[in-house]
Amino acid sequence: MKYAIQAEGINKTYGKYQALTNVSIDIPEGKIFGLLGPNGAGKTTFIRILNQIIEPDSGLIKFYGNPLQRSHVENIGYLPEERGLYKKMKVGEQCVYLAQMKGMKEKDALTELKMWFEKFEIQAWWDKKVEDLSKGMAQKIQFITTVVHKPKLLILDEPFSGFDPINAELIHNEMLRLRGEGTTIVLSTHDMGSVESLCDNIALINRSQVILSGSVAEVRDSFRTKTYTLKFEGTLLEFTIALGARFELMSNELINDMHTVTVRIKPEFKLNDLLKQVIPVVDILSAEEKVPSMHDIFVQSVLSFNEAQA
Amino acid sequence: MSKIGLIIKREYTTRIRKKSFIVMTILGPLLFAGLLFGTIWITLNDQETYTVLISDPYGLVTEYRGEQDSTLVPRFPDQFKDNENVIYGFTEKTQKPEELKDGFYNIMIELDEITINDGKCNMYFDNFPSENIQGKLKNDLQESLERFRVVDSLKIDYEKYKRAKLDVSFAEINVNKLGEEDHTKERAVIGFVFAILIYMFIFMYGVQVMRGVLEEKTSRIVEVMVSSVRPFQLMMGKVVGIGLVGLTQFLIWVILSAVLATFGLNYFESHLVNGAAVLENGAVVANGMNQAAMAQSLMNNEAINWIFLINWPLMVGMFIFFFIGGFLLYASLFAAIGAAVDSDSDTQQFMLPVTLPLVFSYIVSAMLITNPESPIGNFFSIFPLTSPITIMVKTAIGNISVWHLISAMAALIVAFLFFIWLGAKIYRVGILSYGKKVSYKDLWKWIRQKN
Repeated sequence: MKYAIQAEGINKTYGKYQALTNVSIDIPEGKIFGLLGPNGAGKTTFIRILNQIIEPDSGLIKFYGNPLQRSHVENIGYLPEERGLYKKMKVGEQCVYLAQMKGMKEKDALTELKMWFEKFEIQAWWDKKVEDLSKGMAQKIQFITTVVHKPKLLILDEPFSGFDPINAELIHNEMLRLRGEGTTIVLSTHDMGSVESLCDNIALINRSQVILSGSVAEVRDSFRTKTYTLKFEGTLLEFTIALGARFELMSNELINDMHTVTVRIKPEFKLNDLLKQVIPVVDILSAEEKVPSMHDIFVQSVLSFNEAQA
Repeated sequence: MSKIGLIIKREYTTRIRKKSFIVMTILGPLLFAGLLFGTIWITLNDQETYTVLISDPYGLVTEYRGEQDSTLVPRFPDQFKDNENVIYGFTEKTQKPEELKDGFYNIMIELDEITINDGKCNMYFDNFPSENIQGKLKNDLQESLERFRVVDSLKIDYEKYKRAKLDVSFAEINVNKLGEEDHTKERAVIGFVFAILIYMFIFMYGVQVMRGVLEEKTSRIVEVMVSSVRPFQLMMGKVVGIGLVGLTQFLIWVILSAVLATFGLNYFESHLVNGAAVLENGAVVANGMNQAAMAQSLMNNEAINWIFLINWPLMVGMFIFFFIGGFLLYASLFAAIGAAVDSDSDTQQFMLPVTLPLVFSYIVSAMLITNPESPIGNFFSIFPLTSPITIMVKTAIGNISVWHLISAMAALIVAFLFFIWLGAKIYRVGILSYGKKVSYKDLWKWIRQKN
């Protein structure tokens, strides 16, 4: 597999405060990578190191196979969580300026920006002052200035915060389209729903360390607990008797004569074994595996790590 | 264009286009000229009229008008002439000072028997008179008392006495520049004007740098910027851009002032020449005489020639060098302050150590006018935090060696490199630190912190 970013053994301290401890993260090329973690875990520090805003104390970062260097900033687009614009400048002027900062020529910047302004249907804003824009409008401009120079690597820190659902959908679709064009995207967010719908891979940082990483499918797989949700009609008592010692009833609920139960199966057994036991006593309506959500995985991993440290 | 060039361009163009810049640039010289002429006008015209009672029981300066007329008049009609500011009255009685409060007179001067010996007399006042008025009163009294002593006591003809009397004054000549008068004081004042200009510009534009940095920080654009350029480039781009705005404004001011001054001088000249014409016609009034004298001294080359004693090429060169050097030094400090705080109101605690040396150099410059060779002045015209301002006075006077200049310049270069380095260290951490009230201890930590 080719990697956009290979970070090896990154350490960073601020005085006595350890912001990153031996962090190694590989970000595959052309995928959306979720960078997760509680507040203050070290995500922003890692992102700033990728952007060369700060330098790590030790460790190595490779950008598309080469050691990260200054000229790479022109291949990176960064939308920080704390983002803003020059309030007194005009929108168009500002976009051109920021594009030039990323190494674009003025002429190319104008062409590209015109395309983006048409796409987002905001041509009328070109000569407006930034201070006259609403928050949502400013966010669109910020997104455009992040992607206008066609970066190979896009780093988005909480890109959906402050967006209404319509605009969030717009950005969501743009991210999928950019991935389709080969752009690698690092998405740092607390919104686990968007991680599930967008990310191919994740890394979870907690207390300056990577405590979980891999593809979303692998991670979720490793968190499977062989727990199944069954719906049936019949009596709960007979169902419970039929389970015996091999299957554990985790929860149950009765709505309109229909029971919804979750059952955990011991490792050596399969769903078929469970069904064989219960089919004779109740009418099964449905059965499906209870796959852990990214939200559950996040909470569970962080809490168990913190408990282990305490 | 390089990125730092683009930053400079943005800082420059956005500021030049601002209404406030255009207004200030045009109004600046007008305000300055207005201030100057206003002050002159006020000192000349804004004077109350004083009614002055001379109480002279011993007849030192007054006498009866005639044998039958017991009105008191000055003994010597040349003195105690009324003008628009002073109206004299005379009495031979001693008056109670309290009566001044409600009476016609608001000043009473009491001559007693010893006055003739020691020249001392009491002045009672309700309203304290200005220096000008006091000057006239003293002058009148002095000449009258002198006459009294010369004519009545010494029995000498007053005209002879006047011819014998002599005022001593110095023509200042530096032994290193024999053959010309020095005019140190006048030159020092010119230097002081330049010192004030540098002081003003460092302050005005230094604060603009601080505001600009703070604005980038509070509007949260800064993190996007430093993902494209190094913090140092961003800081220097701002400092240089704003410095260029300052230079532009200064240049426009010089041009506008030159135009205004030419017009002003023409106006004055035509008026003064009129005054001189009045003199020739023989219709001499005291006012006209003053004007004529001024006109003559202005026309007389020698009186104004000292302006050319100043080494102007050196002066302008020094001005530009110390303006730029001083601005770079202070602007980096102002940038560091802007980066360290979260809001305008928090800047105060860090402003003091930066403004203190600036204000101090202003004071030292003022001191150099009266004491150009002061060792303290010499030290602070080399010390880089104060030299950009104080050295202008010394350069104008010309009592400065080449070595002095070179060491001041070298010290300034070393200092601004150091302060840019120091400012950049604080800047690069400060711009990304939010929400915490920063102390001097934190700043020290930031300076030592690795990138």
